[in-house]
Amino acid sequence: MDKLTLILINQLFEIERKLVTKQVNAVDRNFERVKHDLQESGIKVIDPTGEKYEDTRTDCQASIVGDLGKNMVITRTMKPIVISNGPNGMELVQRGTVIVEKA
Amino acid sequence: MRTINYAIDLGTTNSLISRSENGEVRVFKNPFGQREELPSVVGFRGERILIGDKALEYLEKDPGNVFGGFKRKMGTDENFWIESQARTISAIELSTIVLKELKNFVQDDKSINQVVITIPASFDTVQSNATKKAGHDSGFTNVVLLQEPIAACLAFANTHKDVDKKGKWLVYDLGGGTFDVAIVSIGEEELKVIDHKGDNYLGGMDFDNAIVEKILLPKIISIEGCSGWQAKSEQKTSDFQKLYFILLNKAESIKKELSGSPVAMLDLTILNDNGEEIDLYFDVTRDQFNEVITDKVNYSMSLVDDLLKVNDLSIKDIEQVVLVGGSTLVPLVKQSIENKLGASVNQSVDPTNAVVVGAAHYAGTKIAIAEKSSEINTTSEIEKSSFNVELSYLKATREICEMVLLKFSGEFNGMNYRIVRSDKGFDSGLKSAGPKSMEMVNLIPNVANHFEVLFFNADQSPIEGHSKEMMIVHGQYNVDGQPLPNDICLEIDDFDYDRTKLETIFKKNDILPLKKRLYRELSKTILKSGSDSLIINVVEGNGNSSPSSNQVIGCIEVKSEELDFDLIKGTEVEIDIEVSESRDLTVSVFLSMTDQEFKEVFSPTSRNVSISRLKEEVQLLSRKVESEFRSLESTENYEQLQKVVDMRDELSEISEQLKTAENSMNSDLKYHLEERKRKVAQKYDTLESAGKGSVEKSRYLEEKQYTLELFEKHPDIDRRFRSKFDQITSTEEDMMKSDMAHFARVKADELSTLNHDIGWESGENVANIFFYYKHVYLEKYLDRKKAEKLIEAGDEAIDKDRMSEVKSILHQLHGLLPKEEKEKVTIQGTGLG
Repeated sequence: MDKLTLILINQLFEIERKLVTKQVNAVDRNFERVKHDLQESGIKVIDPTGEKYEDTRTDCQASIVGDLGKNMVITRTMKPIVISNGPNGMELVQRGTVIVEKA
Repeated sequence: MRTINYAIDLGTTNSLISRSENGEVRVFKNPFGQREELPSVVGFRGERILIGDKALEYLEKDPGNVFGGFKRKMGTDENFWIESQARTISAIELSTIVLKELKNFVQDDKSINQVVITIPASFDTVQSNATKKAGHDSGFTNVVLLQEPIAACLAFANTHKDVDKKGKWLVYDLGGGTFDVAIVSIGEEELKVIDHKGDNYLGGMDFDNAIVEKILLPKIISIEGCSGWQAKSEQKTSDFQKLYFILLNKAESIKKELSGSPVAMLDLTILNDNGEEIDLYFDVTRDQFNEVITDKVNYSMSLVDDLLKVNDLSIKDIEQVVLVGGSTLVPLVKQSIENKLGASVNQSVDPTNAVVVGAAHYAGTKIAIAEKSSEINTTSEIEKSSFNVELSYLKATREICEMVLLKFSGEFNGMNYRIVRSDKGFDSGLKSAGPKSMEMVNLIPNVANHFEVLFFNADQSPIEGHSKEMMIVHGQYNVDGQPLPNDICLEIDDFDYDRTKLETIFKKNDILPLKKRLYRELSKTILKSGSDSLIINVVEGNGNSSPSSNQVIGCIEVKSEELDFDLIKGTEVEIDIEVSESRDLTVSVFLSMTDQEFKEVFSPTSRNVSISRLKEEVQLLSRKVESEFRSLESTENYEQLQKVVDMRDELSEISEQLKTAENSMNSDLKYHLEERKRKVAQKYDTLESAGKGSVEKSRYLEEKQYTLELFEKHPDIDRRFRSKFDQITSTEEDMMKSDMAHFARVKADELSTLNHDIGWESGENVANIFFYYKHVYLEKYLDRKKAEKLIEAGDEAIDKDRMSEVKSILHQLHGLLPKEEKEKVTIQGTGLG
């Protein structure tokens, strides 16, 4: 995947996050459309916010805030996980940049 | 004679591995994360060994179990205490783990056993020997050490073979966390480090922190309503720690952006003192950045001064300055060196990997020691690893993580295993094998997840030939789910052949529930003032048969009067189709042009039938039956003929009743008629397939052959034709097995249209089409005189092989045809293309 596509995906992710926070839903359909087209062309953009975080998750680059605990959760995603369907199957194109805290 | 070829930069902060390949150097990427650098950090979390990025995440939070910077302790008797395992580990052992992990970066060569490892110029004999031991312990039989400044000089010298190399070079190495400066003397045949200085706690990370602490945080605190961050920062609250990490991430981007541009924009969302999210946008200039890092850069320059002074050298004694380390990309660093030394600063080699690149150049010339026993060793490894492992896991799941059970038997003591997802988004790390080991693996939603299980000896060396593969499908396939009994399809227009056709949305045996979103274009204009409508017709049956032989399970008819505006051909329609586990069908249609949404839930007990659509279907079917009747009339196949006559009668009956259905009090009538029509259509499909299936299949093969010939003849033809061809032929196997003549006909027609399009694009068919317009339509043109002139010009263009001109003439001739000739489309259709 070229760098520009990745930059655009990250920007879209950021724009969507801001709009959701401000409860602006007028462009929901446009976002759904973009996501649909990305998916159709074999690109998966995953927001792992809310998911459990473990040492084994090499799909994320985490900054751990506060104390460590048994159950750690991703509380904020700065960059989403991007996976592309390449000639050798699924390929991790971008690791998510996330903040992890104790649940 | 073989050379060593491989080189490793075993750094304090990051490590890299490279290979010399016929004079070119390749720096390998970490298969996890695709970065060249592997952070030199090792963690022991539970039974797991984490190496690199994952370990780095825990370095600050779990210092009792995660270790970095151990290079500084090489050659000392200081050991590290691992809290979770209640044992100590030496810097050599930690380096060994990093070196073995680097070996895993090289996927195409499993027999690396000789290497050049770089060491700082400051390393004494004990430290050098400790590095060598780590190399041997990680499985290298021959370890050659090379000083980092020399490696860096080699990288530059090999890139610029024309540069006069003799003299004294200054190597300024500012990495992520350490700084070193060295003077290298280059003679005719010798490279020698004369002296060096450094600071183990100065690097690019200090620059990031300076941006956060001296630019970003003061700015945030100065904003009205955000002053509360001052107190939070003093108390180091968790909110503040979170903000600090976000700011550090932004600082890294700002630093990179300011390397190429004088201004970088910060775009940030933070919580104000009332807990509300606010968006901040402000610029950070390169001048501001320079101001906050000047003291650090000046400090590094003072070390350069000291080094020159101690060695009685003046600035003019330095021939070349070589910059190493990612932080030298900061303009102020380069500028300061240029201002101070006045010597030419060489930045032509990527400073982030210059050391490992130079070391590989060296390894490419260093003769490898002949190895006698490597093959024997490999055999004994395999003999030693006589173990068995049985994997148990669910092959399909709806959980986002799934348990894998590994049952080891035989000689597995001290062995380790590692489970890795093929996209490298999951890595169990190295785990020790037990009789019953368990691992939770994370899955990517809604896809088949492939994993590889790898096995390692106690010394972390891979056991070849024992890896296992497994696949777990997430989401769609629920083992307890119900499969669909038939295909579910959408009816779409096929105006090229005056018919509608089916597009399969869900296939037979797909597991419920199912959901899909489609985007389609309108195939015709629907005027608000007209009588046309848009029909979303969802049918159940065989996706390869004709639409009318399938059962309608949901139909939304958007009538023209319901529209807010006219719908123009080509605009987009968004369709969501969902089938629940209890078989409720939800269809929703969104018209982007009018911003209107139509949604309906159809349950299997309340089918929806559009009378206008049914009338049209009966009409189309009658036409096909009539044509079949005519073709059989002249034959003596009375049995078939009788069947066709029965069908004709039944359709005529349905047609009659449909005339009154709209106003009938009997609300069941339309469902009854729809069912009768479907039965006739199924009979027709069967009857027709018996006679024409093989004919249509032959036609398909002929068309396919012609397409291939066209591709061969016009190898430069637009790629879209090839992808269309691939799409059409992708169902060939199913089509050949099917007994539906309709399926083969649709595919043959699609190929025929494609051939026509290729013929037009390549000019192959243009002459034929022209002759058709010249002779067949001659009597029909509205302006005969004009047409004759155009034909005359067309003849001339053909003689001179000017096909684009002929195409233009054809467009004009087409415009002269009467409306009925131009529009041969007779079906109303669904409106979906």
